[in-house]
Amino acid sequence: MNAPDPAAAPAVTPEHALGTFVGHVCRYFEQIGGSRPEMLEPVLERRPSPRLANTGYMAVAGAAEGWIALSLPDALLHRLLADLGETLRDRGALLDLTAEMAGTITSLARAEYGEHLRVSPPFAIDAAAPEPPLPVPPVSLKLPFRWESHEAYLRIALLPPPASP
Amino acid sequence: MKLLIADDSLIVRRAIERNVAWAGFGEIRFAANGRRALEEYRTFRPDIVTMDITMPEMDGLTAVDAILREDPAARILVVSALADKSTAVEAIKRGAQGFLLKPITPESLREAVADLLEP
Repeated sequence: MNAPDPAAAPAVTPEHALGTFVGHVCRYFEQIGGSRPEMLEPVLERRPSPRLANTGYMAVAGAAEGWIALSLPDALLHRLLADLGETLRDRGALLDLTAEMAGTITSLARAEYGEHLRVSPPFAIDAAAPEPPLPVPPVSLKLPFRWESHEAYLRIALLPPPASP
Repeated sequence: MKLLIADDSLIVRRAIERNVAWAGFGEIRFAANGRRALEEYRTFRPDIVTMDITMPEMDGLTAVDAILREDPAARILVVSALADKSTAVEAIKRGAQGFLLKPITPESLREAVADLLEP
């Protein structure tokens, strides 16, 4: 595959990303868990709020630089694993599913931006792990949602585009 | 019949395994990255491979290329959330026989695997 021309990349703003990600989060839960989550009020945060028990990250580059994170409580993941017919419930399984969800939702959202938005393999950490070595933007967008009474959130953390000369 | 499942997620590998039980694969092996998938393909010679794209060490499209260079008759189903058209077209252009969008459902997987099993 030829490398995409960065100059031709469409701009990825947090506002545009918000609409894209809301749709993909809803569809993911509907397809796997059978019902759409209730999307709560998005919040712009200068200092990110604490992570939940399991957080999956996916770094993005190209049309936007930064990362997307999905933070989920154990109980929500237990329910999704049951819906998948999975019997594993250990921390490894919870983190594996979290990373897979973050990766899937981010990759689906990439369809909006095409090959100009490059994605890296996802990874997940538990609440006790140190912050991962990812770029920290001045603000990030937290998108809370509730599914089957479990609250979780998606964070969109994109670095501001470089200033024009 | 033999199946090789390449995906960096254990949960996805197990989900695919559960949802192809109907097809009666005699042996199923697993790979967590593209490099491992290529190594397994060489020794295992599966009838069908399911291949994720976004994996560490060697991505799925590179692994598809490498497998088809060694065995042009390999039957590979690419399973990915990379939904943009160029990725799907690229996978098929490289020789994959099918493209299945994540998150997979039992129905979509059944249909895709059944297509590949047709003579």
